[in-house]
Amino acid sequence: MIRPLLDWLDDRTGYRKLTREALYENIPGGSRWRYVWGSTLTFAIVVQFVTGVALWFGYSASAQTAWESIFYLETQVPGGWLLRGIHHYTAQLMVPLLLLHLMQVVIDGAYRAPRELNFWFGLGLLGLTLGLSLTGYLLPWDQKGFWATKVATNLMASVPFIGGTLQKLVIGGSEYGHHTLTRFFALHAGVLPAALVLFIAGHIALFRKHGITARRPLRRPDAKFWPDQVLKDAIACVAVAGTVLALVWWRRGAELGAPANPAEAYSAARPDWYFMALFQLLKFQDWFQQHLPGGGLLWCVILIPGAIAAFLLLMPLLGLRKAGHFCNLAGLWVGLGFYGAFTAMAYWHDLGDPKFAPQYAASVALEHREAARVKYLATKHGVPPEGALALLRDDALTQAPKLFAAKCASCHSYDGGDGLGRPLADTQTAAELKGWGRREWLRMFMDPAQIVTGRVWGGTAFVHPPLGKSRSSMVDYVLEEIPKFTPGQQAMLERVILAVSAEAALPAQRAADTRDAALIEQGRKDFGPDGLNCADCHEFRGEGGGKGCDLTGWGSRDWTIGITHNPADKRFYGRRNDRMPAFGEKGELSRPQIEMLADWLRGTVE
Amino acid sequence: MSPDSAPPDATPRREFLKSAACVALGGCALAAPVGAVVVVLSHPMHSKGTPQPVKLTSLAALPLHGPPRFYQVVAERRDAWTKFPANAIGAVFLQRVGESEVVAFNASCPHLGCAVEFRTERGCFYCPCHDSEFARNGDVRGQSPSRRGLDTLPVEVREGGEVWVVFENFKTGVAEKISLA
Repeated sequence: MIRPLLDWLDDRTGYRKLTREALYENIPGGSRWRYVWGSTLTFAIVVQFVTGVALWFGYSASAQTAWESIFYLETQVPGGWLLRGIHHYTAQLMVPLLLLHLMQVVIDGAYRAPRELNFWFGLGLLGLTLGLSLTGYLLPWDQKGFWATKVATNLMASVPFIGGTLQKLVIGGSEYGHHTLTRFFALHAGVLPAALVLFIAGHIALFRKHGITARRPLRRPDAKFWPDQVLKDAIACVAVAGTVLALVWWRRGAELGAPANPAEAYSAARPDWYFMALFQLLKFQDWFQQHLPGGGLLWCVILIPGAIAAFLLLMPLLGLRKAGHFCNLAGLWVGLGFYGAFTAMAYWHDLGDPKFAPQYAASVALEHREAARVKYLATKHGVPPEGALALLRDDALTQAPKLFAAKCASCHSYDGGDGLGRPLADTQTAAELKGWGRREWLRMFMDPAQIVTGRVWGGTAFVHPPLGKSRSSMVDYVLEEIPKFTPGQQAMLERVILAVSAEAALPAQRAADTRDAALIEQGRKDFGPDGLNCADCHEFRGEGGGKGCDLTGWGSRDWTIGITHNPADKRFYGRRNDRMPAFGEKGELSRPQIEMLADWLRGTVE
Repeated sequence: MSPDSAPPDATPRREFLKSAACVALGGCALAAPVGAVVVVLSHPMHSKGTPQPVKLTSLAALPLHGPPRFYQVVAERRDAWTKFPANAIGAVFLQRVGESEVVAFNASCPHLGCAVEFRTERGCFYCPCHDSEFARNGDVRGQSPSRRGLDTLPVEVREGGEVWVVFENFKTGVAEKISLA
């Protein structure tokens, strides 16, 4: 039944002859492990095509949807993380496999006549693979891919004469955006794979035409490709697949960073590891600038990589003579040595060198924090049509520390730092604001040992008045009255602290405020003439008042926004305000920015 | 080697085992990528829509026993990775058939999903794609290709005469009304 059908097919196509030729190719000296590299690469390319097309089914190439569609794939589509992980780590593994294949070909002399053309096909495949890596790196549109690609495409502009035009063509204009993604995607999923298929067809056809270059001396009798060599190839492919899966498992899939943000430079953006040597070379640009004619960039981007490419292309011609072959081998080993050394140097700078590593680590940590945050927000609220970046833009937990570092940290500290966890650049002149609104903060403020320190008012005119002015009476009170308090008055002070802190209505203190409701009620009375006479200066819940701030609603969202808007308002410091700018009134901070700062300081952001 | 000669081998059994191993190992190597592809690509089979009540109009805008009125249904919608606050999700016809009783038809034809129109001169719903005709009460009329009448949707008349419709779509081309949600 089957037989006549296959005969018919064979009559029309001649498939039997083709498969026989494909499978029963003679291998002089028998199958060997050193011949497996080409097959592992073919396997890797098949995996990349299969997984790549499947990723294509769910990917959307635009600046508002690229990151978002990948996040959806990773979190909402079962197996999505595995699919993308396999694609990512197979790409990673292809580079060492390509190097191994190249080494084997050169060491065995398989690149010499009549196989030059095939060697050049192979080099073309190497270039195409690197091009696929480079274009694929941008597609998730995360900070790492965005900033690394920005550098790569700016380097492209250094190509003499046509660089600028080339760059514009590749990124689709002078700005990075929708067209950068659509173009990179067309290159990554269309142009480069099509070219790859053509080159592979040529590469394999020529390989079959000339046959395998057997390693001499032949140690065993000849064998056939099927099944002897195929078995070894299959084992190698299983090893490759296993390595990929192990990497995917170990790294929990491929990384997806925070969405690309052109306004937020990511200084720790690096190319993929196999480009790190070239990345490192750029750090020597200045050396080339100083010592060689033509400009440093020309050397680093054009001449040196160009010389390496030229050397590889000329190898088959050089290798015609025995001395040339040794020259090629030496060049290859030296080149690999440099490649390894530069790669290692690049990683040492980032991870170990005390001069660069802390900055790198801080940048990576910030990016990881934002990546985690945006994923949390996207899961909780969904991604708005403007894209996931808008979630971070409107997020107090992300923006407030940056605003604090930029606008507040020249005077205030947050947890002893600048809000982003970095040490303060200037000497602190105003209060520590971590725990703003909490009982602990007020206890610190009312502590005679602390009020004159930099943590509270130590750097202000309230403690060190300008010539001819007097110290703030609040400071006098804390320094002179409180140490003399009787135990009864100390208890009153503690209740007043509870009462004033309750004004902040902090979610974190809600339980404590409810528990201490009676004490708080008593504290409100202690605030007045029957207690500590705070109301002589401070207005509180509609009573009393004088020189001091109105403490009604102290530490609440409204109060915190108000004092940031204009501290010289009579509700706050009035004319006695010492240097704190009216951030809102002067337009230094927008209303939403002040709200984000207040929410973050009060710890109400989820 | 002549392409027609069989591969010389002294031990066919050994050769067979090698071949079988090749096939098995090849399968192993491709299992994970192919498996991941199949699982990911079949994801839409498990995803479903969710019917949601949407406010469309008020009773005052619908004359009693008047002609069916066409309304676009705009609602919050999660389209894969994007959450749209207001996205057009479909269209309905509303008819007020009692003091506070409203009938709603999904405006997509139960035959193959084209947009149904209301023909005032003939007093019936009509699908211009394949000539399906439906009476004002939604029943199929005449030689229509549609296997069932227009799909009714649950209507709630809430306080203040607000008309809310629970919008959803149904499987086309069959006689039964099968929810796609």
